[in-house]
Amino acid sequence: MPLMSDIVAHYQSQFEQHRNAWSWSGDHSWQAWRQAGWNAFVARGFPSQRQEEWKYTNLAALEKLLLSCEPCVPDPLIWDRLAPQILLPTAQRIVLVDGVFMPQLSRLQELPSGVKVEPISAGAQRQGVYLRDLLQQACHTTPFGALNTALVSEGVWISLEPDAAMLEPLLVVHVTTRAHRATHGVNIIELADRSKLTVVEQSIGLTDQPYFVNLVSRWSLGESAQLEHIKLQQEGERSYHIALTQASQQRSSQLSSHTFALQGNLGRNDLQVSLQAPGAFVRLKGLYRVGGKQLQDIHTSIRHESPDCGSDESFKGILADSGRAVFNGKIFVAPQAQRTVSQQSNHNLLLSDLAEVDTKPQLEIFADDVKCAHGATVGQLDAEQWFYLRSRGIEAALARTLLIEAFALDIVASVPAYPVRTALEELLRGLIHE
Amino acid sequence: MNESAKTLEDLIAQEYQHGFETDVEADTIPRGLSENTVRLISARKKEPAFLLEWRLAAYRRWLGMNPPQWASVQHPPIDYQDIIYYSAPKSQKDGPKSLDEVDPELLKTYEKLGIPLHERAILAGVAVDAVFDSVSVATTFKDKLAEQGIIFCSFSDAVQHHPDLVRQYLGTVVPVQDNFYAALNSAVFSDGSFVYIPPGVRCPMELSTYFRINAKNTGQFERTLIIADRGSYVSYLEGCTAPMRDENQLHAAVVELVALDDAQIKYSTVQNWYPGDKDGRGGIYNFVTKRGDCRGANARISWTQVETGSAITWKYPSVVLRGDNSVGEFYSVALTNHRQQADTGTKMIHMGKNTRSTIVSKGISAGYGQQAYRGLVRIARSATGARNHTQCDSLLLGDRCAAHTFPYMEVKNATAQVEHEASTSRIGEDQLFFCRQRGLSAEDAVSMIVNGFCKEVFKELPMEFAVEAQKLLGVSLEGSVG
Repeated sequence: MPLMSDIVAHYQSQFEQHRNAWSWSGDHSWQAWRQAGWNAFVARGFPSQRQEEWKYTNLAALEKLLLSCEPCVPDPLIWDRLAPQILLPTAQRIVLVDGVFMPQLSRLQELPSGVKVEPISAGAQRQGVYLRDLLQQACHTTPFGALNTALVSEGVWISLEPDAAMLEPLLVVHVTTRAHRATHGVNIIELADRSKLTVVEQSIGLTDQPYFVNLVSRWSLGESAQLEHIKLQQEGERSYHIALTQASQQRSSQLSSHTFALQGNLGRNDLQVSLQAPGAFVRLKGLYRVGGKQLQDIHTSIRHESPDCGSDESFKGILADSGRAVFNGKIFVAPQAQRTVSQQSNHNLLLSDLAEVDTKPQLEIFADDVKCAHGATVGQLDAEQWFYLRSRGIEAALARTLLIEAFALDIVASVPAYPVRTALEELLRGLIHE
Repeated sequence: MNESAKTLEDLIAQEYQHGFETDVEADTIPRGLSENTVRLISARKKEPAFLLEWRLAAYRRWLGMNPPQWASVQHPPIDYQDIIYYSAPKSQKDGPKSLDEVDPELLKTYEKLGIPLHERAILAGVAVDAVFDSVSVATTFKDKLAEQGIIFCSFSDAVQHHPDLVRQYLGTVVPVQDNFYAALNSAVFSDGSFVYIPPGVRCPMELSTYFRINAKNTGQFERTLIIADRGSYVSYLEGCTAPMRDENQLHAAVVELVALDDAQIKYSTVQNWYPGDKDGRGGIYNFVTKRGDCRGANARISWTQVETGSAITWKYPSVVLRGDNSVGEFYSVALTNHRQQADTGTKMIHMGKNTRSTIVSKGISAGYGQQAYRGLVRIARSATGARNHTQCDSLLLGDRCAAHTFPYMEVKNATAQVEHEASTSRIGEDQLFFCRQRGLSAEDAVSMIVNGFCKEVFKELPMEFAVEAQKLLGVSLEGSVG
């Protein structure tokens, strides 16, 4: 066995101690599944900046934290603190606190027919083989995906039957209340043919002490299915948020995903989409905002595996103080994926001399009948726009806010779900005017 | 298959035109690489001690290094012991005193290649330093240039006659430990060109080097060093060919450019090394390190390259923008056909204030060609007001080729403006239809569209080169449509 780094040894002891603690996964097959995840993590090791995928994101601080993965019983009385943070208070929702499903905080009574939302623990016994297969594919591709498999405590499983539709947004809320813990969660969304769902995923931190949230999401979209996904990252001041999302799309399915990485010490989102049948379309949008010494890292990968698919990607970043951002957007077009149309852009607004952005759009194209374009810019507020506002008597602070707002709200404007869009606009305005 | 498509197939299958071999007796050292090889090369060239020490240091560094794995090219591992590191045409052992003394066989070779070495050179106004395998065989116009204090000679001559300049600048732009191939080159480089332009002098003619790999199993490791002193200007051209062979041959060159205050260097390359046959047998591995250093304020370095040859190209001509207000430019057309692979691009490192850089990269892939643009734009914290614009476009001809783009942007200064745009597409049916409808043949139409695609780069090339580049593309490209 190769020499283990301290952090791997730490997680190994956590793994050994708690591997039997999650009641839902006690049987032998689940144990073997966890073990496979653990082995993959050990093989990959804890990531360092020597690896291309982590070149610009330094995890040394996370590596030094010896966080507990022990299962806990959360305080059910946090609702008063949580409520103001919930984006849509009246929507149906499923709430997990510190990696535990909280029925008393969730609202799942009014789901339309054909829509099932339940914690993984409930489905694990009933459909273990199916779930393991589903999660297996995800787990080993990144070190944290593998670690997630070894240590996952709970998750959300959403499935829609063919033709089912949930028109009101569904909320999935992951809350962290306790510090010095690492929580590993999963989100599964399965849309059968022609089904339709809007889901808002919120990650909320209620502590300003260090903690680590490690999420894995698996989405599958059947023929002509439509998924609209909005993610809001509102983590605590000293948090680490690492999330891997893998989506597969069948014929004529449509996926729209908006990522808003707004708060938190360090955030990393890996979004991997595979367009597997003709006519599938994906829209990935996002906004990251960093200040202080925060870092947000977005890695996206869109694989065009089949002809006649489309992708539209646009990420924007606002960087203040000593904030840092990383964007890596990969578009892959397979030899058979003729008539692919793909568009990608990344725009960054630097508001401080100490801020830094590292952006890398990336095209890998093996088919000839394609239209692929990408663009990336880094700059400061436009001098002419600034002058225009100032010359009309608008004071400096307001002019600045207005310009930043215009830059950011562009991404919000493309959120199709009306109630989510207005709630987001309000939230963002509040943040920008801070 | 319709008739026009057939003509295109014929055209695309056209063979390499410079694939002849010249039969000259050569002075060749045994194959293999060791400290003794390095010493032997140094001794043959009667080098001063400092250079031997430098070579040995590089060799020792090289031993501890690994070949880079990150490029998106594939080739079997190279056996560095199976290469001949020094090969010189024998009759040149004592060095030619004038052109008349140069082996007529050699001159014929260059004539075939169409290089203006004789009086034609005067008409063309091009001063040529021709490098044959490992040594420089003739440098024209030396005296005329010397009148203005310009030094243009082979690297070995520079080592003999201007050791101080060599010592001052060698390895300051590309340090020996820079990368695997640069370290190898530093250890075993055999010859190359040396240019020094004194302060305030505008070099009156285009300087040019022609590289040719002739002998079998040899590697070519040339080293070029160009220094433009304050306020001077030089335009430098480089061309390359090699005979057809079934084995792969290694070419690992290093080019260093130094531009001091207000100086300007324009470096143009038309690279037409043997690309291998249509099944990918043979061809040159072109692993080259090229870098310019804008050391002074208002300096300007411009790279223009047309890459049509080589089995594998691994090349990133870069500019370090150290001086305030300095400018870096990179214009590139790269073509991969048959089984060729190219991983090429540039690095622009902005350090000085108000530094500017422009990158225009045009990639054309046909057949099974694999092509990648890999670029880095780094804006250091000190580079207030820096500006970069990057444009990289790929054109795909045929459904078996590939084009990749890997641009890195690292920005640490809020006043910087960095823009990148890229597109990938093929020649549109409608464009072709438009041309065909107006009576152009399919191949003329494709040639016209491709030339239009490359125009931004070709206009940066000196006249003679632009014509040659267009012809080269014409030969190896037309078709793959229909």
